[in-house]
Amino acid sequence: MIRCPVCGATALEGSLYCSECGVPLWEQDEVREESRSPQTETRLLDSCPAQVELWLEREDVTVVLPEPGPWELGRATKDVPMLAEAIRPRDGVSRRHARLYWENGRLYLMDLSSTNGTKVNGQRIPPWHPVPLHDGDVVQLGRFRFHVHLIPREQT
Amino acid sequence: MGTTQEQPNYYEILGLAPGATPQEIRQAYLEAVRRWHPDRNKDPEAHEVFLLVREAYEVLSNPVLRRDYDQRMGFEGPITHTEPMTGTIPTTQVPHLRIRVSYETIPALDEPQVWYALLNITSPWSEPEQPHPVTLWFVLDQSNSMRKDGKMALQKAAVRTALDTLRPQDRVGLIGFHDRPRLLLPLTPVKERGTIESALEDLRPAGGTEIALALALAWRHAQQRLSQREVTAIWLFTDGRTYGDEEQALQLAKQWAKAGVICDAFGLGGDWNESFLEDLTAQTGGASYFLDSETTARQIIPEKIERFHFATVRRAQFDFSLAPQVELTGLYRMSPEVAHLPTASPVELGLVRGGERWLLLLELRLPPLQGRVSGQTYRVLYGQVRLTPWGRGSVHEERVPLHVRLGERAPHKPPRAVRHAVERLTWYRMQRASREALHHGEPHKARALLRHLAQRLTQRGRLRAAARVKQVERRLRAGALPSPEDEKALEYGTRLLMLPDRADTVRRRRRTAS
Repeated sequence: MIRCPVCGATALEGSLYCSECGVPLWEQDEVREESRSPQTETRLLDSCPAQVELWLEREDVTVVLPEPGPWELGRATKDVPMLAEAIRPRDGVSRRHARLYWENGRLYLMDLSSTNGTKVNGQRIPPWHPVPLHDGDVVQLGRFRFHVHLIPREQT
Repeated sequence: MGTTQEQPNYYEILGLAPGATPQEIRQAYLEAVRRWHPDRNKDPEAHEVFLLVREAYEVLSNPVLRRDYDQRMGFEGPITHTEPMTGTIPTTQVPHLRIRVSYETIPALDEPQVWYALLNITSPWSEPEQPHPVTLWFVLDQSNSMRKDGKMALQKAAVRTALDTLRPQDRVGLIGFHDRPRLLLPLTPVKERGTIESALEDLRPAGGTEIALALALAWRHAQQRLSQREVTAIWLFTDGRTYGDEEQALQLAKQWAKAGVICDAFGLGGDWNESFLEDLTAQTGGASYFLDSETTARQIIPEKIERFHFATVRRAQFDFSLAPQVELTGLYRMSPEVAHLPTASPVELGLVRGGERWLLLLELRLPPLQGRVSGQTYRVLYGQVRLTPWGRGSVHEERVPLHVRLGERAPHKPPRAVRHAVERLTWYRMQRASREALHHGEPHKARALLRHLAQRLTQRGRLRAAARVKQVERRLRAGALPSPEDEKALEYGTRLLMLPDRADTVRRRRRTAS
């Protein structure tokens, strides 16, 4: 059996796409091999200690970010397609607006010098200056709002 | 970049096939801009599509970028999308079967594994100069429910679309059915349009839906005049479910397959039983469709009839035997018409016209192979494709040996065509699984599947399909069940996505005989 690296569903060896979430499994050879060893479990645990979910307020959609990041957020980036899709022109979101990434076990958000700026919990953050994010933080790209949820990974 | 992304297929976004000429690209780009420019198109998706269209054009219009892109995407070399043959080139020396598999070498595991094979089969013969004569039996639903939603009018419009494409010498017969079937019109040449029209006017709704009886009547009539020199087809139109007589109908379809008669089905509204119609038609090499509008009818029907007229083979069959414990878990015809074929040999493949090919995807489940020696060849399936020509020529046979080497899996990606086909199949199955989850009272799971599906479709530039999926997902989120029409639209929408490349965006302009 192999495990889908995105949604964790199991599939028969030789499967090319995950039947639950549709992501390619043929690209995941290395991940697959590694994910069996306990060290890489820990490595993944170290690099992304929690699963990041974005709750899009207006759409009421929860987007689970594919691991391990980093994720570029914006209306023309493809790292988080659901987000790019939900953004409307009048939201004032730049094509590449902000970057979200894990570093040393913390999740950071950095504004990529966007036209209309980025706010965290209502506070404007300066461009090119990473700020740490916490569970429940509300992020605003231009006028587009979402909530960040960190789902801790279960320790095995 | 996330780890699971693939680049969008720019050709698909512009509705083109790889290998399109610069003029075609420019043309397609201009059309797409006119259509998707956010100033003109108020669809919330339009903006995203527009960006993608521009991105696609930027790459494809630049010879250097395009070459790199083609290389990266594996679009180089022989392009699988063939152009219509001119009809004069002798094609006998070309191989007519191309086999691609997910992995050439697989590990000998102590657990079962999946393995895919994609067969690309072309006909050794070219299109006839003169169309083959066609005999078409319409089996038309006149149950009470046809009164609603303009279904009766749609059914009649579909028949008229067919009549418009048929040649004057072709023949049609009409059978109407509710609780019992009735011959409305014996075989009549299409040129006697007045007679056909007045029979069509006789179609009045009354009673229930008994499909098998109607099909049996059609068969009784069709049998009297079967000819090897023409295409005989039975077209079933229905908006309902038949109860208890499915098995009878399937048995009939098997007889038709033996006689080389093709059955296609058209479902109207949301209540018909799609898996039954699919099984029924697949037995004969036919296909089933969701007829939701006259536009759809105009898209499907003339194309089908011209395929009858210009079929390059009389008949095509695939028979095979599997190695012990190997299971054929799915057999799909991805081209020219998408169908879920039966997995018991022999299988009818239906017809193709010039320029078309059959594309079959086989999903096989291999048993645990531990104990086998590395380097050994393991034969998975042995079969042959039999193509019967029109007239006197001899049957063309292509052997289909499917075997795989045992050993370390090579680090290559599976071939692009195989990935592509399996990806589409996955979309289709996700949609099916979501509906099953819903019917089992698991709306949460159903929504998750749809959300993922929308995400995948968006990534691959299938924005209209993604929008349709999201619409259903939104309805589920609001606590509503999707309407039966939603379900059918999803089913047939994702099924269309299984067609290779541009088929769901731009339909090839077909030559209509002069």
